[in-house]
Amino acid sequence: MAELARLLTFMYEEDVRKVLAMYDELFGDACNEGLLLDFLGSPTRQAVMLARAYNAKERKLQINSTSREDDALEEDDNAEFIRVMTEMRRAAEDRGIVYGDEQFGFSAEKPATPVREAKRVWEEREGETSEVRKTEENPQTADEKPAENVSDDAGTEERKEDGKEDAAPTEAPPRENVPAEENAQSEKRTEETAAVQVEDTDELRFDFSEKEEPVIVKAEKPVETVKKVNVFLAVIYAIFAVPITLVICTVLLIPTFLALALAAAGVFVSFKLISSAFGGFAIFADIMVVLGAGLVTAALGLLFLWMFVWFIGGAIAGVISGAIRLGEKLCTREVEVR
Amino acid sequence: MKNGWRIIISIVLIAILLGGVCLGVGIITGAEMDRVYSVLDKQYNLTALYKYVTEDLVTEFQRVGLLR
Repeated sequence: MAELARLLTFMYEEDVRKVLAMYDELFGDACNEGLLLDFLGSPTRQAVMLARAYNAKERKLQINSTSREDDALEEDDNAEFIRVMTEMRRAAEDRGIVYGDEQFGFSAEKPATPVREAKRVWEEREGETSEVRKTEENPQTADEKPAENVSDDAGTEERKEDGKEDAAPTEAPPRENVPAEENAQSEKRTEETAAVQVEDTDELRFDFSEKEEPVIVKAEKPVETVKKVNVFLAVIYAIFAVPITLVICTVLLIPTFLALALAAAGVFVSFKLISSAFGGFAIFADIMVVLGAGLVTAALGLLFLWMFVWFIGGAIAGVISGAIRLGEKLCTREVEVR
Repeated sequence: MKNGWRIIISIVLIAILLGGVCLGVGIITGAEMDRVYSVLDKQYNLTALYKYVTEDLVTEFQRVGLLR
C-alpha cells in the first residue's frame, strides 16, 4: 500500500486517499488475501490501471464544478477511476475472492475484522467531533466544549489528524488556482469519505477509549540499504585471493591450450580427409571410408574447440568472478541509509 | 553455456553417427584399408610424418628432458 501510494503522485491527494481507502476496504473484505494479491498483481500494475483512468485536468474541472454542491460525494463516485475500482471489485467478487456487497462500502453482514472495526469506531468518533464543531460555532454550547475536549484523548489525537488533513489538501499538485472555499469543501469531503487512511509514515494509530482495544495498522516501509566495504578485510582477502586465483587460472590454461591444439589438429585433419575423399579416390567404398573418417574427426575437432571456449569463458572466467563475489560477500556489509 | 553444451554435443553426436554410417557403408561395400592408406601416403607423406613424430620428435623431447 505504501508503494502504491508513492506511485499515485499523479493524482490529487484526496483522490489518493480515497483510492487507498478503497483498496484497504478491498483487503478487509477479502476471503483470501493471497488470492486477492494474485488477482491485483503488482502495485505498478494497479498504478498503471489508475493512471489510464485518471485525467488530472478533467478531475480539476470536476472538483471545481462540484465543490459547491451538497451531493459532491455522489459526483465524486462517478469519477472514472472510481468506476474502474468498482469494476475491479465486482470482478473480484465474481471470482469469490472478495465478499460480495451491494455497494462499494462498509457492510455489517460481513465478519468483523480489526480494520473494519476500527473504521466503524473512527467514523462514530468523527460524527461526535463534527457535532462538537457545530456546537463550537454556536456560542450557546460553549460551556459543553471544555468537557468534551478534555474527556476524550482520542478526540485530541483525531483533531491532530484533522489538523494534518487540513494542511494536506493544499499540497495537491495544481493547487495554486483553487479557491479557498473549495479547500474548505474538500476538507469536509475528506472527513466524510476517508475511513481508513494509509499514509506514507511508519505507523497508523487509532486511539480509543478505555473500554475499547486499540488497533494498530503498520504500513511497512521498505528499508534502503547501502553496501559498506571493510577496507582492512578487503586488503587481507586480496593478499590471499589474488595469488590463489592466479595459480588456479594458470593451471586451467594447460587443458585450455591442449583443447585448442587438439581442436586445430582435428579440424585440419578432417578438412584434408574430406577434400581428398572427393579428389584422391576413385572407388566408392574408399570414398565412403575416408568421408566417414573425416566426419568423425571433424566432430571431435568441434568438441575440442567448444571445450577450449568453455575453459576460457566458463571455467577461468567463473573462477575469477567467483573470487570477486566471495570477496564482496566477506568484505562488505549492508548498512541502512538514515 | 548449458544450452551451448547441448547444441555442440548434439551436433557432435550427429556427425559421429553420420561418419559411422559412412564408414560402415564403405567397409560393407569392399573398401581396403591398405589401398586407402597408400593413396593418403602418396598425397600427404604419412609414413615420413609418422617416422618423424615417433623417432625424431620423441628423441628431441627426451634430449630436452620433457620425456624420459
